[in-house]
Amino acid sequence: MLTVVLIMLAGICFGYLFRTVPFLKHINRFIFLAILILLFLMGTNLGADKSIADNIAVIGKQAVVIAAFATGGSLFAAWILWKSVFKGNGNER
Amino acid sequence: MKGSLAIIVFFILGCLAGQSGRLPEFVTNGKLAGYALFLLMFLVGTSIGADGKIKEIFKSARPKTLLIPVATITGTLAFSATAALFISEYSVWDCLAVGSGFAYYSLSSILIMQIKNPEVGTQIAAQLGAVALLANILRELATLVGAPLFVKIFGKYAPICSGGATTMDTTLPVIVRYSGKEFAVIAILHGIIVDFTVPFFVSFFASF
Repeated sequence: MLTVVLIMLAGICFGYLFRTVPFLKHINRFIFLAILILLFLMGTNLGADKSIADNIAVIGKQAVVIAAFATGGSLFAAWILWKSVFKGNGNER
Repeated sequence: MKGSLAIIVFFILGCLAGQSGRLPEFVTNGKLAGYALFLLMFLVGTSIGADGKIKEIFKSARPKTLLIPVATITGTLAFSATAALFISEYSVWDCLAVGSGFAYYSLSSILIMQIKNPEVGTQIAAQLGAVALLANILRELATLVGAPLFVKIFGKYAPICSGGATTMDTTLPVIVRYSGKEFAVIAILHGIIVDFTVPFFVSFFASF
């Protein structure tokens, strides 16, 4: 999936070259619009797929397990970092 | 919050439209979604390139604050891999691909669907994509709702790490509220860095 990364890099160059164009100030609105369109289209893919509706309980369970581990792992790492940065002195940085 | 709601509404509308069976094949087979993804990636790139503030934010960063995104990434990936022990249907790589969405649900799920599709077929690819979508929405929700608790138990970096790629937009308000105002710049920087890694990690893990 190199294409996606290349397209993003092309976007970065484009944005940098045209950074003074006032139109680009509203880029976040277009990003939001693109996300809405994308989510709608993804919904149509998933909705048209009968196997998703049939397996929604399994899919939901798997999602909860991975989300719990991913979130828990980041919290654990945050805790280790917090402890090691402070070494008990309670002040920040 | 309003934004997340609109996203969920559009997603549900799409599901209903897809289920009705009245949409033409070229809409529901994922080709159109693939092009929409290209558009989104180009726009995201443009916004990064055009943002003059990003240089300043990076300049104001201390080496120590860069450890926070490192913690987020290592913690998430190590534990996501462990999740495979409890999910017989998916491999370690699949779990890593889902976990490395870092709460960026739209991008991670569509990437997984697009990359897995030619390899394992539409059905399995769509299922893993649905898992990625749900799991990463749950992570964002957990951060929004759990931030005060996370700060109490795991310290002030906790909601930043759990927020993953969303700490520069959707979860920024709760981080500022519960970790403190002084964490705003750190959270934005963290969000930019983690956000940037999502397409790389997801496509890498999904290609196994």
